[in-house]
Amino acid sequence: MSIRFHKIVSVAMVFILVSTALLGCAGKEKELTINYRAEPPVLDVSKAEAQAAFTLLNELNEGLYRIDKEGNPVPGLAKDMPKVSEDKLTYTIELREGLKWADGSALTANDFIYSFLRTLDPATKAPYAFLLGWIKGGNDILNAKTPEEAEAAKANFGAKAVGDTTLEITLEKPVAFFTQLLGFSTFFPQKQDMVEKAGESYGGDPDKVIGAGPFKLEKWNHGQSLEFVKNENYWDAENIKLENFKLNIVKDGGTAVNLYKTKATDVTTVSGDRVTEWKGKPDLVSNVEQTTTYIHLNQKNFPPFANKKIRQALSMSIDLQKHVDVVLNNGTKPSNGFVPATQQDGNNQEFRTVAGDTQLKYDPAQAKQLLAEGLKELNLTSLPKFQLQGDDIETGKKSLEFIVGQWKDNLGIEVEAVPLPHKNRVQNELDKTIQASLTLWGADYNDPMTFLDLLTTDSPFNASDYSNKEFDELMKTSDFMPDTVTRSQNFVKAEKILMDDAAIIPLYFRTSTYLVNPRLEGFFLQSLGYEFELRWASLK
Amino acid sequence: MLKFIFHRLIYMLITLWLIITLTFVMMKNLPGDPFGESSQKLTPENRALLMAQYGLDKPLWEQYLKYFGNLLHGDFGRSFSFPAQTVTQIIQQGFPVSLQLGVVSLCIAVIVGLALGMIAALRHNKWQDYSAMFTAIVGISIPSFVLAPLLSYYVGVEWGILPAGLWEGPQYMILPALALSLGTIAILARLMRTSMLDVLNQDFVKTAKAKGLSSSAIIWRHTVRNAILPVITILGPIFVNIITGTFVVEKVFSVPGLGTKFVESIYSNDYTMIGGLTIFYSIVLVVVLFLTDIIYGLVDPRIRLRKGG
Amino acid sequence: MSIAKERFQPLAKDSQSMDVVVRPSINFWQDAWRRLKKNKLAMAGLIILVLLLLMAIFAPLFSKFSYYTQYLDDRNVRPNGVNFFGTDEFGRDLWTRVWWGARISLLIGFVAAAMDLVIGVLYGGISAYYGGKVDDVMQRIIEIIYSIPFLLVAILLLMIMGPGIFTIVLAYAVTGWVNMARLVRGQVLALKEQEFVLAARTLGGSPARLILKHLIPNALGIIIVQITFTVPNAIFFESFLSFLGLGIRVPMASLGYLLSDGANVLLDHPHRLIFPTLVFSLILLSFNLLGDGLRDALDPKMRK
Repeated sequence: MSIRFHKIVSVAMVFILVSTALLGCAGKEKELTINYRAEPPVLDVSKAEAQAAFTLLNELNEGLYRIDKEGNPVPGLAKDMPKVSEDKLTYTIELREGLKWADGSALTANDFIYSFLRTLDPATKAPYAFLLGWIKGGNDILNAKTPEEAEAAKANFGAKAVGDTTLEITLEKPVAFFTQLLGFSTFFPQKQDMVEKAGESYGGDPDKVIGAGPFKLEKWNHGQSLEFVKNENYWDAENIKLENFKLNIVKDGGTAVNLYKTKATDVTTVSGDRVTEWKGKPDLVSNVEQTTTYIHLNQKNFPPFANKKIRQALSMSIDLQKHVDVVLNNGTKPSNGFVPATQQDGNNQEFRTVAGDTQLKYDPAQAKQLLAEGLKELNLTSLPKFQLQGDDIETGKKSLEFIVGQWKDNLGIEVEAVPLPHKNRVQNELDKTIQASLTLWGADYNDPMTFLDLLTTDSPFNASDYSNKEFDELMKTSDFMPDTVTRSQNFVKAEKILMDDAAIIPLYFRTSTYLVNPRLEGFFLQSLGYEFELRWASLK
Repeated sequence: MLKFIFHRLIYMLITLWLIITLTFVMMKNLPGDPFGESSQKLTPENRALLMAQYGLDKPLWEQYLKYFGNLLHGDFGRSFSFPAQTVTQIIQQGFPVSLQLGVVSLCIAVIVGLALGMIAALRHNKWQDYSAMFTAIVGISIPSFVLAPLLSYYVGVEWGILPAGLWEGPQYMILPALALSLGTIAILARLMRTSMLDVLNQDFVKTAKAKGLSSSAIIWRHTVRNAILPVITILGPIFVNIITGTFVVEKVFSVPGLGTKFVESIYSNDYTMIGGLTIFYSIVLVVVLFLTDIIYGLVDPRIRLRKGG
Repeated sequence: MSIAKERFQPLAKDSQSMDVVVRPSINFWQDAWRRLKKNKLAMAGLIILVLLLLMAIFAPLFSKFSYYTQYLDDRNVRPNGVNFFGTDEFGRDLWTRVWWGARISLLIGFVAAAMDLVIGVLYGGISAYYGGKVDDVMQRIIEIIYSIPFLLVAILLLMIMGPGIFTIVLAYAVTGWVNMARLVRGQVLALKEQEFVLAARTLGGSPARLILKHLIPNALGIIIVQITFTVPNAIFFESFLSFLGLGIRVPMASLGYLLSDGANVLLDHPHRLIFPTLVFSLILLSFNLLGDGLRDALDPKMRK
């Protein structure tokens, strides 16, 4: 019994080894391979909410505009930049002529309207539908309680197709960054008959995914890989140089780099200490995202945080440069304000260039003094112990350890670090049950509003329970102000108030580092929404 | 025998029902909602809307009944994290991979484990015994999350013999299967050693020796044959153990199996997925245990099957 | 043929010499210990284990560093005369942290074993002693617990209750005691038909007394062996939870946490992986070697 078994196994092992040798030689040179840390949950314009899905939708589909290397919108399916009315409420956009879906069928302005309405319909359960709420009547559809109510609201929707090639979109209020928003995947067109035919499985397999972008999905091995080939029906197909690419799902950071080293992949993320050996090499590319990591100090749940001096002391006692060196070690820059470095100010300039440094500087001596003064004002002899929660992933834990250590060393206060599973951490913030929380926020659109708005008194995301009338007033008046210059100045003022109050403690603007094979040209990383762009890429 | 099987089936169903209920209660106690990454950006109103669309605003007992009703129809539902796929589809894609990995790993473990156990028993209390058992135990003294990255780096990158990760053919299975087999090797080696020693001390082996049979004939025909029985009966549970414990190895070597799905579903509160996978694994476990019992009863007449058990 | 009477000599009636036992009588435990001593691997395991325990207890006491104080100017220092195992990325002394981690890991192992002992032994003992319906019901419960995917329950429990030493031990104990209960039951089943138990019962011993005084002590061999395996299993389990990020809270570290942390920097700062792995593996190795040796020593069948 055991001998026969032994034989079978030996034969199997020999077979495996032989096939190893044979398959090992067959390497494909022309194909581009990319590591990605997660599988896109679904490639459906309406239901997409993960960066993986946004990024890939942008390769296999296209909006009216496409975001270029500088982060600016350039005409995609639209022929030209939009004609905007005097009151900045109505956008009229001409489509290119002869647009086709990847299957060769015609793409019309109605496909956009269908897509918008499908996303807004509550029955679709689209998580990013709120972006379409800026279009007139959008929120009425989104908030409809019954299907009948939703159908009625659809009739008054502010986006319309005029003929086959013209779109007219009317907004609720002027939105300074709307053209850019049109390049985001939530605003892509959808092919109605495909959506309806695939039903609930839409967006889950190559035959249930369609777009009008530079590439099309050829194969999807769930949990493992996605393969794309050039879309010959793309309007600019002749200028697409990449024939195909493959995305491998690789979740382990160490293995990802191992695969890069063995040339099994051309693009991968690299983080922490693993970055060190690549410093100074052409492979290493870094990308500052529009994401800020910061600390909430809840003023209601832990009353001492209501004291400005105590918040300032906590803010000024963290050495931010050391923090990024110790915890991230990938060249990330510490924050110097709340709005991240690559974000624009709504007036075509980088916000940080306009605002400069607004955050309190690291100064342990002064921090100590501020703490003493603050405690005196509160009639306390020492700051009671409080809890700082954060994500229980690697960097989250390290950040917690570092910050708690800094507060202990520089202020002599005891803080308990509480790492929690991600969902748990987020839920505590939404319920506002935290004392202090290490959190992060990624921009939804390229405008300071997406950050500053978080800390208005009635914002559901104001986990600090911070309230400042002057700040609220500034935010309210600038919300949809057509005058972009004053608006930008107001945002700068608002951020200064926030930082001077130490309402929150920003730590750094998230920077991701990648290894990119130098043979890949024209490839670039994006700071918002999409992770990378292959439309202009080619292999040397 | 039939009565025994019938009783066991009843118990299996009760067991499954208990597991389903327990899992349901536990997963509903997980903090947070089952929606994806961007759900943290939903306003309370939009969140409430979404909850209502999924029927998550209903009382728990109502959700439970509905869930249970669907299960009775064999419908595990759609994954929250991968809304275009049903839980059944995801299991269909992932399980064969875990199964393959498990089988290769079990093969390695059986060959190495039994060999070590046999050497140890035949050279009882000699240096061969010590070194064989030491080798086996070293395997369970290093966690796979330390060993797997080392294998991936040294074998995959430094020596370049095998792929450092991914899952694209037979040669991609070797490293993950190896990393996965270590714990099993130790269990099997120990069991085989004890079992062999048992048999070697028994009268029929002594008789065989006295008859003048060659020692290889004694070892193979009499000892190994008899000693392997208890090992075979434990292979079932061990195999289940292997295929449910693939998480670390799957993550490190980018293997698209069910292990990672299992852990990820818990982290993302993917209710339908947690439920579906628990039930699926429980069924596999229960069935394998059931089969093991039957096989045990068949191969070893000494085990009498009691009434109802 | 006859033998002359004088050739017979009466033996002196020395009452003392009658009691002299030429070879010392050895009881079961002495015999086991004698056989354990012969097993070089097991003895090596025992000695290493005692050394590790002593280090875990005393090394942090005599270290001039604490496990949490950060020295940001001495980050990732290689092992040297001051920091015997080097430092981590916060400049914390790895020697202190590793031995602290060993303390935590061993604590988790021992507490888990204790819970195993209490629940498993009592459960198995009661089940076997009463037999019949009680045994049937109790065995069904065990079968059900045995069929639950253990990992899932453990992770769910930790997600709900939040990480910490107690939750980790609890998560392990929820299903860990089943093996113990099965073993004890089997042993007690065999024992309870033996004469001494019958005698005790006839003399009117209460069930509790019978189980605790007579049955369990006689199953002690198997229980001890099982415990020497429970401890490393629980330590191993904790390390896996640490890998998932569900281990104990920072800045406290278990060996499992140090391991999963070190595995991330194995190329750049190998000392952060090597030393925790060394201590971790030695602990597991010595427990397992000792356990194997004990099993051999306590198993009457293994007698030569």
